Amino acid sequence: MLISQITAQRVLETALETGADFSEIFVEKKRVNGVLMIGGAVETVQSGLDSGLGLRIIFGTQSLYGYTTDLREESLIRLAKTLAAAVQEPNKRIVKPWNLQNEDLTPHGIIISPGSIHMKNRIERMKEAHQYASGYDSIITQVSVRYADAVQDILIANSQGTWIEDQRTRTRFSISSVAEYQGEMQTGGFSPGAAQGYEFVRNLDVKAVAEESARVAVTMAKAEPCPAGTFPVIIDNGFGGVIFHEACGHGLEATSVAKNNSIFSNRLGERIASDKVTAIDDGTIENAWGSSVYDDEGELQRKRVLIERGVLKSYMIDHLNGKRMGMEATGSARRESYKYAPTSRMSNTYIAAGTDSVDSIFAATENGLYAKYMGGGSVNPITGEFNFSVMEGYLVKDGKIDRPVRGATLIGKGSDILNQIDFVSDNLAHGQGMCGSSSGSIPTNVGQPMIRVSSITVGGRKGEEA
Amino acid sequence: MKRFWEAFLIEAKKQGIEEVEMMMQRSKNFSINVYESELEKYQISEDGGYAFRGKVKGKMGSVYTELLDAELIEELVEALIENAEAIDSTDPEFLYPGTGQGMESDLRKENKGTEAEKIQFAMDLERAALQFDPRIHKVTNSFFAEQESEYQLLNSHGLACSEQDRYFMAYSYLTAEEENDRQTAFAFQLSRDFHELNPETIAKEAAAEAISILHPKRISSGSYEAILENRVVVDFLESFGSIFSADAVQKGLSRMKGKLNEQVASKLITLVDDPTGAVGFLKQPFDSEGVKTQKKKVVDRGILTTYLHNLKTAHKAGIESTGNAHKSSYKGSMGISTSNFYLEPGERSKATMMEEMKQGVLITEVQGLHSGLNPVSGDFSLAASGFLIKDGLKGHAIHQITIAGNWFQLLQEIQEVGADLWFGIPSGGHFGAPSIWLKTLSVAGE
Repeated sequence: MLISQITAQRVLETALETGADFSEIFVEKKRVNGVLMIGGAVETVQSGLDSGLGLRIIFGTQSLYGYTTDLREESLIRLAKTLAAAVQEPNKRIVKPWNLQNEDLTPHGIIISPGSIHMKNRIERMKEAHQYASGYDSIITQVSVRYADAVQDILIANSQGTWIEDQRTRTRFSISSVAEYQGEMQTGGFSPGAAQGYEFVRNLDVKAVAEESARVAVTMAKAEPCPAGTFPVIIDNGFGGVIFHEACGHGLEATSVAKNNSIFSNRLGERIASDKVTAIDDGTIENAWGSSVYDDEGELQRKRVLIERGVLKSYMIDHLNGKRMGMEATGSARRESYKYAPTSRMSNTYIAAGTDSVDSIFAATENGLYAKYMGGGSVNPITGEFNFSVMEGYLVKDGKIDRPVRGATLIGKGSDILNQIDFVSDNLAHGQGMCGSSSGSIPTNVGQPMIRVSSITVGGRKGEEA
Repeated sequence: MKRFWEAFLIEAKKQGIEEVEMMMQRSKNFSINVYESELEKYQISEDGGYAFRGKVKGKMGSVYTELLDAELIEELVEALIENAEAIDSTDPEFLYPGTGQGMESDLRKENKGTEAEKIQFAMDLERAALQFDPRIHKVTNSFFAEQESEYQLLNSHGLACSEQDRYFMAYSYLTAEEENDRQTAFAFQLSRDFHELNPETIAKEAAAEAISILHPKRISSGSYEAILENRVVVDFLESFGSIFSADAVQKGLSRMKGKLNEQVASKLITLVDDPTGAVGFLKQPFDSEGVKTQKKKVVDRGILTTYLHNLKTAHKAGIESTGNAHKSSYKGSMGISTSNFYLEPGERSKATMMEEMKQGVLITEVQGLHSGLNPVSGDFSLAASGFLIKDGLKGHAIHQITIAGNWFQLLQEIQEVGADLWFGIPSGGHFGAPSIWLKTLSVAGE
């Protein structure tokens, strides 16, 4: 137990002393390991222990938050008193008794805990990855491999009787290859991850991932600059889903919906996308990177259908924003650590499989861009304007892949793009990312089958139209 | 803490490690958000951590903890050894044998202000923005924060560095709305004296900007003469901040490799790294290894004069460290970073340059820097917005364009460096720049 029930009770009670509606603690102890290998040699190895408590008090729609690394009871009581002093209200609430029916829910079973393996085990697989990538082509000039794992023990307890303890394990393996050709340096990289232990890396097809990163770097180093203009864009499956994540997902989080900051505010039941689009946020996918048993308010994670055949069905809602919106929470509260108050966030978000074939998508595209792999991107949730980089791109001519192009950027508005998705294929796949927002940086899956957007502005280094 | 360090030294020695270092970082934070005249968020915290490094058979092991528990010491030393033994790199490692020094910022009580004043400040910040213009439709965030931090670096050679600092920061993030168009803007202030922050100034800056960019239009693709506004240049400098790191150079990850004492940019470009705090917000008398820092020109009138070194890279290059060792926090690993890093300003204002340019574009914002820009090759293709420059004056706002090019090439072809040196909000660094004038910039639009 991270802190005793007696201490938790006292802290939550103290927090309610000045009349707040609700108090909640989030305690965590997290062991992390990270290894960085550059050019086949291990450069740095880091391991650490994060430990602290976050206390949240809610009064109306006001949120008071405090955190500390000092877990002694007297220090926690002091924190609760200081925080509660910001509220003054005569009606005092009480802490309800814990609901201690801690069901043993472990749909994300861990086989080999990171704590049980030696550093050497991690490094063996990194060396393999280095060899496959660096040996792929003579123009590969640099390969970096990273390994990161974390075991986070958490306790969530609140004044309404929630008492949840859980352990979350995550492992990630990243490889990045640099190719240099006639003075042009380009990078290809992948970062697969899962809510799993060492078994994830043991079972990972390291050869395929490493060689693919090298292949992308080599292809892009030899590619010509992408022409700029407005074209139909075919976005391949997997990490291509980052476009939905950024351009639409953030706008469906209660964080922006509640304050009417989102273009999707007050539009439940309305058509917001082409009828080819069904979009889902599912925090229950077994062992997936963005999954957990409970969200960070202690609600069970669940599957949320956000958009069904183009119609807006649900937002992603945390308790506090739910209060603002007059709606139920959807188990979507997440936070990076005890240093952040939770808010509504995505988990594993994806566009569901459609029925179009990959061939029919290309056949319908006379002149366009094929984004085989996407890089990262960002969005302004208020205006909906987004931007993404394409990691590996090709021009499409007469329905066929023509030639590789580098340096392409896609820009546009989320609401426009959703209506312009005119093909959705059946090959759904997921990719892993870290998503940064007001409650910190958290692991999220993005995903989609191959889709086509009928028109996107493409920025490239060649200033003229294609 | 002292007892923990002493116990760690004893345990390390017991397990055969002679050279060890401890870095301690603690901070006290307070922050508030006001939304619709209500104190929406109120946050306090006290946290910190302890990072340990130690030399094991010539290799450097590292480990950190946020929990200061004597029972952890044995485990920490064991992990440190396991981590060191896993390292392959054969580069010699060093713990600095210097004596160290202290730094204490101006921590006078009269600069601090009271909690009530700060809440009032955030309320005023929101009100000033809403009163500025009826088109200011919503202030998403009126934010105030302060941080008091304490830092110590000790090693078994007797090094003892310490630092105490405190700062206050406020920002306004708001939306202007008119006829179905919404635009957002952000402005901030940062100071070591609470009373130097002014809610009116911040609110006006953000509000005026949001209004000025309402009703943007797209422009056609093509090549334009352009001014990159100071904050855009800051974004670029920050994104390319690592190219002068000797570590990146030695690993073949920087275009600056092999270019020492060569012309790498136009003669108009002088880049300065200044840890003294005379310009820029950072005051850093010693670096993360305890080495005394110094002000230096990294690029002097276009000539690359030095790389930025820590002890390890300096030894490899056969020179002294430049005092640029950097560890972002107790969780980070030792690397290299700039301190206050800025492009030396020229003489003329942005308005004068626009007047002379007559036709072109003024780029005031770029997005997607973490993905649309390749710090190795210098290629960039970024979503951008700004204004058309027409007859030497600021014309209508433009949006939904991308700008593309190669940063290293732009630095060679620069037409003029403006006078308006400005420092951005620190995010992993402290970068400053004036606006710059470019003869050609590739723009993709309609």
